[in-house]
Amino acid sequence: MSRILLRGAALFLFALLALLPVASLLVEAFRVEGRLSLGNFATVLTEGRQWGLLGRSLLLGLGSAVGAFLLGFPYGFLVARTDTPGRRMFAALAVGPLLLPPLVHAIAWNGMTGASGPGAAIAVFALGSFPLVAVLSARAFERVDARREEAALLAGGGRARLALSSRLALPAGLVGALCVFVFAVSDFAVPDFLTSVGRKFSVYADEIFTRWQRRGSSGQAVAAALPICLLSGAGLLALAGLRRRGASLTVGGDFVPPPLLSLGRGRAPALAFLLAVGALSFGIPIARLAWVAGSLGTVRAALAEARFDVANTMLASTLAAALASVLALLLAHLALRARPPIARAIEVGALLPLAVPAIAMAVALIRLWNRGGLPGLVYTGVGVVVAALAGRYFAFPYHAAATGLAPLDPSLEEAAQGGGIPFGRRLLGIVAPLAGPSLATAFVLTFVFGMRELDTIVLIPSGNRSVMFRIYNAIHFSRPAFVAALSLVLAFLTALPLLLYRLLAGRRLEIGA
Amino acid sequence: MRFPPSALLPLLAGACAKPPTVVVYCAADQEHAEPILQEFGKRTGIAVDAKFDIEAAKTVGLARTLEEEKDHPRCDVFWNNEILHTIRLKEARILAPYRSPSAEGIPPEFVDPEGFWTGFAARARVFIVNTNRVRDVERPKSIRELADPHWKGQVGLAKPTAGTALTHFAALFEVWGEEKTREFCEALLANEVNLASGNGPVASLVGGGHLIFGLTDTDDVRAQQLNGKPVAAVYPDEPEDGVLVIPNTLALVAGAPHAENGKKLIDYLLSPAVERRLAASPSANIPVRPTVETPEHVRRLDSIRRMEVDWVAAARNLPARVETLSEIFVR
Repeated sequence: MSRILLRGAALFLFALLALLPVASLLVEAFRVEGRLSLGNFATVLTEGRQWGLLGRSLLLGLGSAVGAFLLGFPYGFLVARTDTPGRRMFAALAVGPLLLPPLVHAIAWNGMTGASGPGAAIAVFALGSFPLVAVLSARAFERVDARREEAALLAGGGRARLALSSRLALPAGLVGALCVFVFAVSDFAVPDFLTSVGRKFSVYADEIFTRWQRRGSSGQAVAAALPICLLSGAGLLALAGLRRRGASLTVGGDFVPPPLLSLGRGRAPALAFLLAVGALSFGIPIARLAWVAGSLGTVRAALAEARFDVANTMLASTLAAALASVLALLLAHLALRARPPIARAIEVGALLPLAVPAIAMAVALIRLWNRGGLPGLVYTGVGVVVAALAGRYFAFPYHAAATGLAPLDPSLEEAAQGGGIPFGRRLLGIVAPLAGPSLATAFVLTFVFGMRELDTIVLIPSGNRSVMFRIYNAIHFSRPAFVAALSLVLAFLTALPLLLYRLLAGRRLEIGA
Repeated sequence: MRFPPSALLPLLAGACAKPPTVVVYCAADQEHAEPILQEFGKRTGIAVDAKFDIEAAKTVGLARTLEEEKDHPRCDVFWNNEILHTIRLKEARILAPYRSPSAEGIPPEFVDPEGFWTGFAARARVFIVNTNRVRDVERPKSIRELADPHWKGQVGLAKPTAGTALTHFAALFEVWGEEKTREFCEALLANEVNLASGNGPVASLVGGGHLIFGLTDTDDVRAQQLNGKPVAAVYPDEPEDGVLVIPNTLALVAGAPHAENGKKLIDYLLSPAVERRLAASPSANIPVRPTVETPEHVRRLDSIRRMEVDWVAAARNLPARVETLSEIFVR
């Protein structure tokens, strides 16, 4: 297939899934009764109450990001670069907390310890999301060139070597922390749940939702969302810059992998740290869910009751992951070969949907797809859910693909091109296999976030039959055993691609910054 | 083997489900409504595609989706678990009139004069009281007691910006007037009342002993009782303002793609048999027909002194009320 056609199709889909919903929201924010106006912003942003809510959201986001960084960065270092016992197992387990949605973490901890309040919400986000920091940091620590470390060691000893490695891996860790920040500031279910008793900790996402529920106030809802979008967007743009900086600092054509560092007496405390973080973030919540579920029979019954929801969620997440991975490959390849402004535009475009509050994205998707003809068919089928998931989380597969493609030697492709092999076959036969682990990562990341998604798809009729929807409602119907059992099913099914990849390919996923 | 990209289209365009024969957007609890809708499907052979709402967005989510879909309606029947948003949808010309023959016997106060909606299977706004923590003589009698310093920090309600909690406060604004209701809201905050994420969590918190009592719906009290929790329902304000009773409402959507099947579903849902079933179910709905028998634990409508609310005015004023309530409770 021709290069122009493939890239054109990819850009079209990218615009449709990621850019158009965001653009339509922006237009709405600047429109009042059909005319261009700043009225929505004037109405929303002049209310003093907003700033208090924004401050609380920032506190939640920053606290969660800092907490996740403090757990994830050393965790990544220990599993990637040290001789801590069981480091490979801990590396594999690092993604475990991501298999459970933050609200399920909150329920598990609240049920066990009665933990509540904003501090508990921050702890839940930090524990549940620290893998975003840990996995990215681990990969970055592994990519520090041994010769640079050796030079640092000679110049300043062990401390200098550690300082150099940490400095080089820092951008990756911050990337993860920024992702945690973005997820935390757009969530209201966790702080709402954890402050049911005691002083209410209302957050900015509450305000966006309240604005949105008033007819004719969608523009105000989007305007209200703007500070969060700008904050998240600024963070994500910084993330893009950090990613580029991180990549250029740590990857070279003649890269020499760094050796493992012997911790000596430090191995025991290092192991204790990994054990503690692993237990708090995954082991204990999973054990709690298993205890509340009670028996395998409960799990089987939950699966039977929610089987259609499970099938729909799996189908939508798999299709979204496949679509996003293919698109990520094409666009990351294009960005790699394009001029810097085009590459940056693609990168920023990929990040945008993540910065927009989920509820606003849902409204945009309804307006975009609820039409006659083919869009209407997509809207009434699983297609709109696939579009929602692939578009909203495109930043993750894109960055995974970009990381995988960055170190590839372009001469391989050039030789094939010289031999008359068409673009499509070059991409499939040369580029994709070499970037295989990164593409698998792209798939898995979209799949994982798709399986746990609730907010973006909850307003869309065909998104109604999802596992998270069923869990969320069962929480409110006081069915703790069912919630626990279905959460275990969700965790297992979300882990399935990871397990399959490990079994079939015999490799672990590579997630780089 | 070559795999043309166009082969993906049918997959993306609805491969997961057959085209539905009747589409219902249902704000009633999925646990209670789903078996009834399935029963309709079995009886008639009409496939039911039901979309439910999450607790946090109760009704509001579905009502807003219906508004967003106005130009290309996808839904045939709106089964609302309250009344205000149904009236608002009628005023927005999103509903179509349909007078169901099954509505016979439903008192006129639960039927829209123009036939745009019909009420059935009501719930009452009541206190759920933890019987281990409150003696009989101490049980609250009025919702004003939520602001009583005696209970400071120990009682709760759902944040009144969505669901039936919003409906309740919107009704209070009509019955008590703006100033008095505002004062009550401020008094609640001053009394450190606990604001849960929904009526279900309020009931759970009381059932678990974390709160002494809370304001919720009758079905949430029943759920706790069925879970063996030491709770009882108290119908507040009967001698004064009366108890707020909120009916479920059913409406046909204007431009419904499967209007005839939608009418059949409405006929089925409004039948006395369904009201009886909902009364006997864990949702313990209160039948609006005086002729429908109820289990012992469900009070009959004519035994409750009800709050008299001008629902149309409450619906019309709803946006302003949401704004006021958000200013007070979301800050």
